[in-house]
Amino acid sequence: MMGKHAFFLGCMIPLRLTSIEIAARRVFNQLNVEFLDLAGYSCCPEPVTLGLIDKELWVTSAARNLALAEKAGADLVVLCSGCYETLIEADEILKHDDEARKKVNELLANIGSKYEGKIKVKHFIEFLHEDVGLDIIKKEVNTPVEVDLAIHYGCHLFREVDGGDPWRKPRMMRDLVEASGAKLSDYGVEKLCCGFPISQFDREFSLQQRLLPKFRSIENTAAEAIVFACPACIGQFESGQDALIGNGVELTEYPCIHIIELLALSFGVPAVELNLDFHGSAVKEFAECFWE
Amino acid sequence: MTGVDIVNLLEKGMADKSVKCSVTEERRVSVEIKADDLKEGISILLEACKPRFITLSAVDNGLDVELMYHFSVDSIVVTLRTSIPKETSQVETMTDIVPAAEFIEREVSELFGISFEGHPRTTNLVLPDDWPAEEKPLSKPFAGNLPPQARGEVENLLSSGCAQVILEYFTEMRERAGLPKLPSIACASEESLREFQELIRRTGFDKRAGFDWEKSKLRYR
Repeated sequence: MMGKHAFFLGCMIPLRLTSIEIAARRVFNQLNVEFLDLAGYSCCPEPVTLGLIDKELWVTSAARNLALAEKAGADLVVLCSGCYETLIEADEILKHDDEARKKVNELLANIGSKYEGKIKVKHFIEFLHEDVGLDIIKKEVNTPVEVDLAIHYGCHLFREVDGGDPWRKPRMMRDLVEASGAKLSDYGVEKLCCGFPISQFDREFSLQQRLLPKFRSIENTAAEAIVFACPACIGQFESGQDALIGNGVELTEYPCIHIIELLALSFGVPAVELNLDFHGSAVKEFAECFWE
Repeated sequence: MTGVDIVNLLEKGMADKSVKCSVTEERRVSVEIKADDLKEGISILLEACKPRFITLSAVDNGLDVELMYHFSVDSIVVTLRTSIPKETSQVETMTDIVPAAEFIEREVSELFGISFEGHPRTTNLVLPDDWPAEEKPLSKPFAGNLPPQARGEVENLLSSGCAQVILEYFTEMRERAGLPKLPSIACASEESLREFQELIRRTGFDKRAGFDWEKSKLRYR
């Protein structure tokens, strides 16, 4: 049905929110998707800080990661939205900018590597939606997650190349959440950034001007939890709600669950097997409650 | 003598050294040279071209001070430039072969804090005698060009290939969850990490960022 695929896990998922990696492995296994681990990959590199401070470092390191997948003969399925942005944008630059590709390949030649632009880079959302298909996913849902959820897409999910529709992947994410059995509670500022990038420079601004307006809007809905596609956004929401409450703000605390964890639960994977205690919010309690 | 002749002369005379010579524009020759080889480079120029010493200029780049010895050869300006790390701020004086450099080396020493080893006079030239020895008016803070928010991430990336700090708490959690202690990231294999770090060196980012490979840290952290 499908060609060979390699997971690109990035840094944050395997080393901070490992429950997402565990859930992804369970979901892909259940969908009979064969995948391999990309051996020797490095940080994508991260697009917000590292991508801005040194373009040459950023594009060359990304090219090495793409070349590793080419060597393995596998298309990349990227689990982290930030890594997706780096890899898809670097791939786009290298495919169309002859000078940049020549320069990068001269550098890669020193380590016996070469970028040829032979593989596809896909966000796991579009991979699940387009390559696996909603019908097949729905067939695997044996424990529908019948709860109201607020959705946070995360800015990276809107990244498209070749002038594509920026809402293409967010719409796919909605379909996948609904396929799990959950009901979406729209709150109006779904597209607003969580504030993670700016938090590295002005934490208070990110909490007051980005995160708090989102929480206040979500509080007006029936949502019991928030569903995400980006690990950095989860980190910002989880640490941010703690910080806001710690600063005396009266706030409803929400479990912040990743969409792949949600799918795993709907596929009947017991919550205890997902090791959800990697989270900084009550995802474990939320999931255990639901699963029982 | 032309700029190309001067380049050829220095490249031939220092064939076993790391020297980068180029004619940058009409009547300008630039020579990038290591501090340890500076005296030899100047000696070759002095012997073959009988140049006139124009001056020494200095620029504080945050992590290093760049010294530029300028000479005139048949109306061509030849600049020998070398970088002095601010951790040591030391270089051999050129006054024994270029006596006219005495005043300007003293001035650079006072204003930038560079110590010219073997200089015959170390008393102040332009600053008052009672000026505090530790205050160098043209010296910038010892800092690289990375914003503070990026420094930790860069150190993690260059030393492990991973932007996150690898904490034992999480690697143990991984093991308990039945996963390998480390994902298949570069630092999980010596060969992959070596390859990644070699690539970084080739981009020159380590030098631009001021990364010390031995300490696995930025020089200014």
